Amino acid sequence: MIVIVLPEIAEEDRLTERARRGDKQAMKQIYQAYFSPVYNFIRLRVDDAQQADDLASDVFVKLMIAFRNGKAPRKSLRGWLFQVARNVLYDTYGRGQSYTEEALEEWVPAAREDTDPEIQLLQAMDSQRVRQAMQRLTPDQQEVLVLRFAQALSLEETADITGKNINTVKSLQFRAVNALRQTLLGD
Amino acid sequence: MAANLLVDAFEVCVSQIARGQTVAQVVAQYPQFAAELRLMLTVGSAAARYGLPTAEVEAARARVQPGIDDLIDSFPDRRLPPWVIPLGILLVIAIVTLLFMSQPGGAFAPAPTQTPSLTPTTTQTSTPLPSTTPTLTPTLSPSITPTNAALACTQALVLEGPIEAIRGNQLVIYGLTVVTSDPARYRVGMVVRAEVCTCDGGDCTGVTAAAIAIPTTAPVAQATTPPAQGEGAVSGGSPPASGDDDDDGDDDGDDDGGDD
Repeated sequence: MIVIVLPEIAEEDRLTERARRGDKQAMKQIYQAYFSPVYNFIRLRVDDAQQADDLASDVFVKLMIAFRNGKAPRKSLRGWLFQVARNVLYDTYGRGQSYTEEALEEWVPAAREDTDPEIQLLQAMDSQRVRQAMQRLTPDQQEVLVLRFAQALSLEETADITGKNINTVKSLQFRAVNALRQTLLGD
Repeated sequence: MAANLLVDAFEVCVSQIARGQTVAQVVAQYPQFAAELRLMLTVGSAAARYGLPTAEVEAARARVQPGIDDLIDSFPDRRLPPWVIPLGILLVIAIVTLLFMSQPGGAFAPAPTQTPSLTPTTTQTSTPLPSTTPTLTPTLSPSITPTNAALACTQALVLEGPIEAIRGNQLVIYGLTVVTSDPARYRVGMVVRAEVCTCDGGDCTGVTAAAIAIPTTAPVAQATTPPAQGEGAVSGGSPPASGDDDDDGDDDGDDDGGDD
């Protein structure tokens, strides 16, 4: 059984609309809902947890100020957040920064009960082996994987966030998944 | 070529899964790539479940939250009270309703001007009594009475005094012109009491008839006829500029002819 948990888009839109009208409670709810994915996204690149805290805080400060100034995102809040998070990372570490080894160890999905033999196989993989597989991906491929699979962003949104065209993103995600698969499953 | 097809098929599958379809459903569309796609989607879904331990994320959230809350709380409160929007809607509805009702045909529109259709009737109300000493008390008493709603009068006016002149169908009393449809009944010098309507401007159409009666010392007549301008209409404070206003040749013989 393959499970991809999809974000609740309608609720996101409702919250964003309320926050754009100045609803402070909605702003706080957005923080509660989106801190975790944004923090995880940042933490994949940043070794230092304190530094990751500061960067995640920067992202949400920018968002709240955007709400206050009437410049908040109108379509995809998640897309906006990840784009800002990505910019904050680049501003701090530059474009070439790869995922840290520490974060990669934690990025490997924890073993879970699953009846699907392929998933069981993946979960049974040695974490070191998975980490090595992930390290072979470029930062761009890693980003695309996170945005497309973890956040279920559309191809267009992912292209907007990463500043690439749609065909490049399509190719990136294919190569990323294929490389990961070949390494993990020994194809 | 096949590789491009696989790339495209994979993208289609990822997008459809993001919209809620199952892996089995999306893979079934591409039987030639089914095994390959299923494997890749499995890898992708595993990668999607990345994430730090919940405890670490919660600890980070708790560390950052006070600063974010303080920032949010420092914003000026520009959220409208909950009753403002319903009130606004009600106001808009009220304004639109008023505008609609004030249109022609609406409930608040001015009542249409009604032109009464008058049936000419002449009634003899009293017997003329000769008087040797006609006491002329020309007291102009323009007692203004409330407008009779049935009449299109702007105000009612009572004129009592001698007829100063007769021009066609117009009697001049104290310089005021009273229109009558039966000028032959009156003579210059005759004291009459006219209950007339005044009308504004030159358009006196629709002004209803008024009674022109001769007081007890003089023959009494009542005229209630609907002339073109309206019986009993008073126009202006002075007679017409000339008698040429009389277009009806039938009345020519009466013009000033009754001075005697």
